[in-house]
Amino acid sequence: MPGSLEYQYALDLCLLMSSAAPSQAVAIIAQRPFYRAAFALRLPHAPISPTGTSAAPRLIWAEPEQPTAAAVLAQLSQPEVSQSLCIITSNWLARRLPEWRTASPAPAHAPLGITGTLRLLRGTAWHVTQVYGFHAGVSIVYGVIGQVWHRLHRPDLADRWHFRMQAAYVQCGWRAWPAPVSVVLARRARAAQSG
Amino acid sequence: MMTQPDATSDLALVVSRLATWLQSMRGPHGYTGPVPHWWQSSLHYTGIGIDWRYEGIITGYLHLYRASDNAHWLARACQAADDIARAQLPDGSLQASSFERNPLPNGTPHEAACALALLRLVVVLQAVADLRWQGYLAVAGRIIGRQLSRLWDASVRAVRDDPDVPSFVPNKAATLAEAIILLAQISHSPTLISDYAVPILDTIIAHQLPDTADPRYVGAIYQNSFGSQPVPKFFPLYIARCIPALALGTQVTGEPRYQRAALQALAFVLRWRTPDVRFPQVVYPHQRVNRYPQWIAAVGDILHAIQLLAPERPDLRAASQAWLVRGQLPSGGIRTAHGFAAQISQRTPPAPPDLRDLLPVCGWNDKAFAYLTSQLMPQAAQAVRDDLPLEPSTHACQLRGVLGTYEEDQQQLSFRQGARMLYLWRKGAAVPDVCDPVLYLK
Repeated sequence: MPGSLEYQYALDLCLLMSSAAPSQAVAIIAQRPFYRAAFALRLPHAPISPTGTSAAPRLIWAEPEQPTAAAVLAQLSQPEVSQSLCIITSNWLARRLPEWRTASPAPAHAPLGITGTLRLLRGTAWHVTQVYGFHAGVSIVYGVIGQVWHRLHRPDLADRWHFRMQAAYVQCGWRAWPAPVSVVLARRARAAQSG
Repeated sequence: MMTQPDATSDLALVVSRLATWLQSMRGPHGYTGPVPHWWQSSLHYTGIGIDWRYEGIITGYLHLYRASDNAHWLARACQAADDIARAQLPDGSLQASSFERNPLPNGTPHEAACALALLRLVVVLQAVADLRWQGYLAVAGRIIGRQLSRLWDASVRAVRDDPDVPSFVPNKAATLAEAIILLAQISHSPTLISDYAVPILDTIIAHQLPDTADPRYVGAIYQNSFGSQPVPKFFPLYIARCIPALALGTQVTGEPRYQRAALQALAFVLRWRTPDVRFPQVVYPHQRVNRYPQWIAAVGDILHAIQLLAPERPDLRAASQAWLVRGQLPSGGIRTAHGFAAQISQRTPPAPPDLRDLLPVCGWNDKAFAYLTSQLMPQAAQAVRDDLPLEPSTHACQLRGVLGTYEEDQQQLSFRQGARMLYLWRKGAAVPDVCDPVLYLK
């Protein structure tokens, strides 16, 4: 199983969100084998289902896809027990990652992407609290500078810029948008909780 | 009668505190904890790692057993071996075998290092007619079989680092070669040596800079290659990890070229040791270096290589051994490194140290453990224990410009800024309870 930093970060962040309240159970919504295998490694005791019918205080959704996202979200939005939601999304840039090049089948078939996911959540019971993107904006620039030093036969400087890139890998808010892989954190809005 | 502390009893105390700390890092199924590394760190996944930590841990317990004849240490070695056996997947690979990329399986050289550890245990168990060796031999055989079926490239007669990419990493291949040689000796299968170990060792030598190179680089071994293209980076630690396999190559084949390559590799490593006895992280062509982070606990592997090739020269090890021992924290764990904060700038690291410098890690401390236990005389080894009270550690540190305090005790380790907890990991847990976004860093 390949492991790009983008997907490692995304999966780790879901893991951290699930541990924030260890007493609260986690359920995973994952349709594709890639995510099902990835979460089986990280959260072996969490139930995994392909639809939004799982009910647990904390939900991980990996990942919304165009034909099914609205239906899954409708199930999630039922005012039941789930209070927090962690969504992994990807965009076309993810297709250059080893997971897309070597995993068969690919991690997703028709990813909704960060824009589509935020649009989908708008006006629903879910309030977006944070968006994290991995390898966006400044980290891409640092990575390119590292490549330039590599081509100039300065592997020492290429390595330094590589680590500068890694240090800037996680971007949040609007800076996360061009990232190949992102994580959206949401919680159930108060009105929906009471309703 | 009271005895004055001397170097021997001091070392026994160092090892006792380290062994006690290792015990504190055990969860129900193995050794756990965060991992800072040069390539990337794993501060988020903190569960068991069935990786190269087991090489040093099991080897260290076997050193203690041999030197003390205390069955407690053999039991500890078997307990660790059981962790590996339990983690074996049906295809022969191991769960969470990728160290800094855990919990991914198929880690190199980590699975080979686990097999090597098991085989060292098999030799000891066979000597005392303990039949548990059969099970461990089977597990090790499946690991090596899986490695060869997945990574062996018959066209170049070497192991790849990635089944999909023509690639070779000498230090990783060296660990596998060492395991293959030991498996061949135990199972009386000399063709394993001629068919696999010898071609691997020859490929390592092909990655070594010859006598005609710049004198500062003679003996250096390229970190890796893609196809026929070597990557011009030389890591003293990884070059030192090639040495045991090369030395073993001469023992089993009678060919002096492997021992000669090992000696030249060691000469390179020592040539680049700094006057203050530290090893740079990476040496590049044209005498360029990235000095930081400088390993502390992992220096155990370099010391092992020096001892292997120059046992009559303890003076070559004394100062670096002192550097290693000075890195021991009050908890008994040994610091990972010096200078993680300078990994990008490569300027003199600022004070206080980076959190990643301080974090003691099973997969680095195992190297110190294996080496230090090899230095104990029988009387000192008999004094070693692993149930001392663990002394809490508190140290000022920083991470990404955030100043804070590192704390560790028997139950947990943490990083906090005043009352604000930034990182809290309960030992044994697969994930930290608290991980502030400042630690969203690999």
